[in-house]
Amino acid sequence: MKHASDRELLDMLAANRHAPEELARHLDQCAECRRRLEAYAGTWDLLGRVGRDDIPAELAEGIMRAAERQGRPAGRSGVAARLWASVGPIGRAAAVIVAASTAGFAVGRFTAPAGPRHTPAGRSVTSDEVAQAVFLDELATAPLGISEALSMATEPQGEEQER
Amino acid sequence: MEYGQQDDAELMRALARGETAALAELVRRYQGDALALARRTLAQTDGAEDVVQEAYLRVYHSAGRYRPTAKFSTWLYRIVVNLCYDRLRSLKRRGVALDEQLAAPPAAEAPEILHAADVARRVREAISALPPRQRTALTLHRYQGLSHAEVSQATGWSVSAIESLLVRAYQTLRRQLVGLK
Repeated sequence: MKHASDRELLDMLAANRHAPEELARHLDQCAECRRRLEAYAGTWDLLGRVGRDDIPAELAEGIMRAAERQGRPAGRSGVAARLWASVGPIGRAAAVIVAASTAGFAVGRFTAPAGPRHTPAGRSVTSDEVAQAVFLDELATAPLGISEALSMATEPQGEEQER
Repeated sequence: MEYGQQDDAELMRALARGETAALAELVRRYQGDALALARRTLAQTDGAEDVVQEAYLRVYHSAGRYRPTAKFSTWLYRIVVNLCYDRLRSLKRRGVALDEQLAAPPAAEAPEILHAADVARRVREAISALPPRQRTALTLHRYQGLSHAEVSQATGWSVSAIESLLVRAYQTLRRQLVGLK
């Protein structure tokens, strides 16, 4: 066997293991490689005598204060995340289609040419339709993702449950 | 919910749901290793604590996008390493003489028996005198216990580059620390 590579010797030290059989046989016969291994082992041990770094007590506090100052992470809100996880892939696909449809409706509603709007003959606007229009107005004010739309839709129910 | 008993991936999911206390547990677990890595990578330059704080804030804001394809610690180390090198580059642009400052190795002294604190100081000085990339690879390998592949993941450098950096770092340290007991 040729001489052991530095990598093989370092791997042995890092993994704190015995040499593989072939390497062990070579080490038995090769004083030069044994000397190199001992030198690396000495260095390895010396490096371990540095000890643990002191951690300033205020470091963790500073991180948490900065995180609180900067607000919640950019993920889904708790209610929306739970709802999103619970509906399954088909439900999530359906929610995306509904959200896309309602967003398209909202965009069309606000980009249609100005002029008198006509209600089909014989049909009056219901209070539910007014409420939906108000909800769509909210959607149209800013581009919203599905999680925000879901949270808007689910928050009132959560409040009712708490009551 | 007892955060101390959750694994890192579970804590990241909790953090994505807005449970800030999960961040506190991740800070408790890894702040020491992250700080040691930043201190050794930055060597004599200041700012290790700022780097660690900024790294955790990035974790906080990226929690919703985190996917546990790699260990959390490896991901955190990568953020720390990137921030350290951003800082070193910024200092270099501003004309701070990093190379000269970092390249001066401690003078090799005659074999001697030193007190533990002196040994630790000499070892720290020898590590600080290594080139930055060798310092980073060595720290992740020797002190964070990462394999070559994991050091590669944590730094974005190739495995063959890591092996070369490690061999040169250990050889240099072996020469610098010869005779130290």
